[in-house]
Amino acid sequence: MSIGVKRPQVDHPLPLGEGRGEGTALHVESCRGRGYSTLVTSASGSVEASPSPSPPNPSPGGRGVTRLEDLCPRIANGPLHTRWTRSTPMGDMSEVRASGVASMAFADLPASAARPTLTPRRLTARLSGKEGWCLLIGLVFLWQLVAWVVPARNRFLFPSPLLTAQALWASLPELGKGTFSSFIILIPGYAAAVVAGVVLGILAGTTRWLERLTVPFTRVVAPVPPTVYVPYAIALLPGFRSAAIAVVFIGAFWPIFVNATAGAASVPQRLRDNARVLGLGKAEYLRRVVFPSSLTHIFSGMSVGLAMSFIMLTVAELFGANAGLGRFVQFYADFADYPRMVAGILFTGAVTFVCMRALDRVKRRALFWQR
Amino acid sequence: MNSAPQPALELDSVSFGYGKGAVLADLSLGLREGEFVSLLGPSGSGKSTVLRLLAGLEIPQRGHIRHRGKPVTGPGIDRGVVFQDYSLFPWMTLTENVVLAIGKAHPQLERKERRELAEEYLELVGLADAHGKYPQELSGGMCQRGAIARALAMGAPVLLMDEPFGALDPVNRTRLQDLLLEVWNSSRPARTIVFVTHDVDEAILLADRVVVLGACPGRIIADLDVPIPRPRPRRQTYLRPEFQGLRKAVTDYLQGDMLQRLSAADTVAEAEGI
Repeated sequence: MSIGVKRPQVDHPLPLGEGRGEGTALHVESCRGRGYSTLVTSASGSVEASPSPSPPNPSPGGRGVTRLEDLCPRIANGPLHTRWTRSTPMGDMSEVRASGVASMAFADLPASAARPTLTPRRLTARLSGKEGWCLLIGLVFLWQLVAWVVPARNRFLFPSPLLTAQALWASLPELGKGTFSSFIILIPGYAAAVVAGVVLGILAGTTRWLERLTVPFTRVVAPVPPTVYVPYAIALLPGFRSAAIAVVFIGAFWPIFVNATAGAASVPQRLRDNARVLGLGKAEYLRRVVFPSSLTHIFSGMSVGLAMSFIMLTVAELFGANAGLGRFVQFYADFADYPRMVAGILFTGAVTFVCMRALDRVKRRALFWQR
Repeated sequence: MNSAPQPALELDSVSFGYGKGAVLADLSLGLREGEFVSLLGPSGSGKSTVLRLLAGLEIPQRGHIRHRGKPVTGPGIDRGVVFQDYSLFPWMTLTENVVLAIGKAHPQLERKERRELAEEYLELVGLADAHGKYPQELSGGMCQRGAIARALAMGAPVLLMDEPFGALDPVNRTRLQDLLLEVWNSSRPARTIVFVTHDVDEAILLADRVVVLGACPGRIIADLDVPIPRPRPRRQTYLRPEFQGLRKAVTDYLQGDMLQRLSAADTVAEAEGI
């Protein structure tokens, strides 16, 4: 099945829900969702659908949906001014956008039209959404430039990207082990902080006397930079690992607790009314209303907490670990092996980034009901 | 006093206010068992407050509220409530929302039975295909159907509805009005319904009795029986002289109240030299 479109308008998505008009573009957009997608098509009368066995070309970006009947069985049967929704397992949470049908127009176009010349405007359009990567590439480039300019005797202090990449490659096994060792500290500390922070936060946010009890204490203790506890924790607790887990816990606990409290205290009136009208008991109310309602707050606390726990982890490792990511950086700094040290910093950054992204995914999945 | 039947739901010289301003002043109202009463009034007349008081969501500053003779001290599952919007929890599917209510009303039921009962009620309100959907995937009308299903599923003898169709388009509004009447007619014993609205036609069409509230502070300015026999087909009912007479009376009461307030405001303004 392919679609013939007279004068297709590529890169011109119509807004969702606009189904009528004089335009000649047929546009399909899908929104993200969990297990379903909302697809809205808008088409003008000049679009013709005709059955054909060959699948249309993939879209220029190489992604998107290529088979129209997969998207929209009703289009093939005739009605073009149609607005519909349908549940389709479109895969993960990623956003599939437009261009699916614009590309189908390409199937019927001469090759020259399918490959437009690269004007600045088209270039911007193509780069849009990838600004982060552009900045990253730009920074690496700048780094290389600076590395060229830096006098030769300082090179060992300021390794070039290439040298760093080599060091990174060479130390990957060691970094892998370091990551493992760090995660053995990070995961229990962070998980305990999440559980304790959420449970206590929800209780403190919904129980008046508990709130009065904890708020002044929180105001005083939460802003204390948790790094100051590191030496004492190491002295106080048996073994480095338990001390490190404890400081990771402290670092992650406060942001999660404070946010969970705020979230639980700000459950909208209508939800509270509903819960009361249904006669929910306290436990059920907390579990089925307050907890989901405060999830937005809880997740922002968890993001801050995760960042905090990485900081606490590396700081703790600088003090007394014999393995781990922070330890790796400290070790090579002591030996003035700066390429390796920079590689360690970058690797730690990447690990943090991956963890934050993973948390973000969990968050989007858990908050599927929020639009 | 004993000869009069005890009202199912009763407000006995109730006063209520937030802070200094009085929302309701010395308001008394009795509802018979199985009666459908519309509460009509301009915004600020405290009609929603009356409903919240009956639901037990607010406690009156003075006076008493009784349900079947027992004082109302808080919300209870013997009084189902449908709010204007957002009555369902957005993180639960329709079925889960209804199951939650059933779980409170019929704790003896097994998990599976609760589910089946919930699906029955959803079917009753015309949502047979929407079991597994989340509220934000549904239109406003469908959400209200779900909210009604939930209130019905609780099996409460009293249904309190706070402008339940206020946010709906006319077509859905009509459909849901019909649905509500159908449900009310078919259930035995009939549920007592308090229906808050600011739509005069809706109030008269649905109810046995229209109670008109005046604003600032909220008080009853008219209590009119609707002598139109049921069923009330929409088109014929609108043309009936009783309907038109009631419509005019209610509108006059509302306008009279508004004019009175306006002149009172003028007097105050003059007195204060504005």
